[in-house]
Amino acid sequence: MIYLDSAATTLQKPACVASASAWAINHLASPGRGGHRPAMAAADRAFACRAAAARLFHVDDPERVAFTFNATHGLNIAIKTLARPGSRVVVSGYEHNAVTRPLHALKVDLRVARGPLFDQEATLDAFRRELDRGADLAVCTHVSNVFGFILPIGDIAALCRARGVPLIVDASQSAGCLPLDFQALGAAFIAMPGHKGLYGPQGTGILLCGIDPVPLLEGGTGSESKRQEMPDFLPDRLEAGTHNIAGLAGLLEGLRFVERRGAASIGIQESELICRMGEGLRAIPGAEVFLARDPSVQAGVLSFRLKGWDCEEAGEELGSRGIALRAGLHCAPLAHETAGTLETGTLRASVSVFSTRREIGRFLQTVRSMVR
Amino acid sequence: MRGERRFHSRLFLRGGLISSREGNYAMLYYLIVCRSLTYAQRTAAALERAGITARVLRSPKSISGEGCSHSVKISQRNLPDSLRILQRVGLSPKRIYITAGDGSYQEVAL
Repeated sequence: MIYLDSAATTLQKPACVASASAWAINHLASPGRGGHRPAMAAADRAFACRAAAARLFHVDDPERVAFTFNATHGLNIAIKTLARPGSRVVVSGYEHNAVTRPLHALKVDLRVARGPLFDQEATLDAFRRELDRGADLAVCTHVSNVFGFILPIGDIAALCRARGVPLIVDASQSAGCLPLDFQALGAAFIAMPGHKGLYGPQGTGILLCGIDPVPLLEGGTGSESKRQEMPDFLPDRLEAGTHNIAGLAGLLEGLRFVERRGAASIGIQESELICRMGEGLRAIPGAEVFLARDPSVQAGVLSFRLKGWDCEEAGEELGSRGIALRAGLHCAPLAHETAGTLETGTLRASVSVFSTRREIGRFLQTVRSMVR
Repeated sequence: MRGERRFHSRLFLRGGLISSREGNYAMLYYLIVCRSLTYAQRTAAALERAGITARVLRSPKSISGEGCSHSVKISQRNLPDSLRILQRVGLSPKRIYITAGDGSYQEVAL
């Protein structure tokens, strides 16, 4: 099988990720829930994971690295800390339902800063316009999960800082694939999954906290147990209940892998593969490809449509021929609306650092044989 | 093992050691009480980086304040250096206790 669905979950992981998680199941107990060796060993592993994330994303204090179950969990904490019913919230035109559904549930006044696909300047102008109309909060994805469009997050963050508008960054598709500097961005929160570009197991996520959050869950934290209020300090404030320590042990190895390889270098490798894939698809009659003219604005995700094929049926057919990719709306109807693909959906191919040119070649060959 | 105990006994006679309730000899030590496990881990990591042996443990119930907490254990001789290091890296201790001979703890004024 050729796996091209890394935007959902990276399937190929460094070997040490699985072995660390498997080892943890039998050797690590609950961090902070006992003074015995397995509990303290678990605490050491969790702290090492926090410290590795703090280094990778330039967070000066590992306490500001909170563990979540996934990016959606982190985004819910961030959004529910900062948004209230009626708040004016500016989002990009490429947000995932993990952002738009919590905002919808809160009944905020949603403003979409919409710019054409792969046009960073226009996106920035749209943000500037919406922020100048007044905003309580901005939420922006770093990379579109549908099209791989890299949004100008540094410039958007600068606009928000200049206007005193807190910013939440969804780094689901960029963490581990693009350099991400928490301090430089000055974001209120950055949320990311552990199981995509950080090569950790599913059920792991990270929330970088620039401000004090409101807990989404209340419960035991192994600290200040006499008090009925949640602790007012991080990370305990956000980490009620038993940690996914087997997941965190794997995530630690994933973070170390990314640290060794370098996020920028991984991003370049993925971008090169996507260019190759996009150009190959373009040469196939009947294939419509969403490929950026400037490769520097597209990460390792690419959408395409095949003339005469329903995208779900095409996805099924590719699956039966050994190509794993995703079809449909990818939980991001807003992104499809912005790009004009809401009615049809798209096929989405996404790569990881383990994808190869040979796999891209076989994928192109398979698509060619389908549209013949 | 027997040699180690004799060594400790000798130091005890000089006034640097106390006898624990289990009957073994232990050095006088300080407990730096921290607001969270992660804070305790940061504190211990900062001290270890500076060459000071520091161990994270659960705070004894009698000093844990609002309930469960974690402390960093350091030897008596390392307290002044530890405080200097922690001040330099911006990690302020919540409270500090010293062990007493009877197994209780006395808070140290900072």
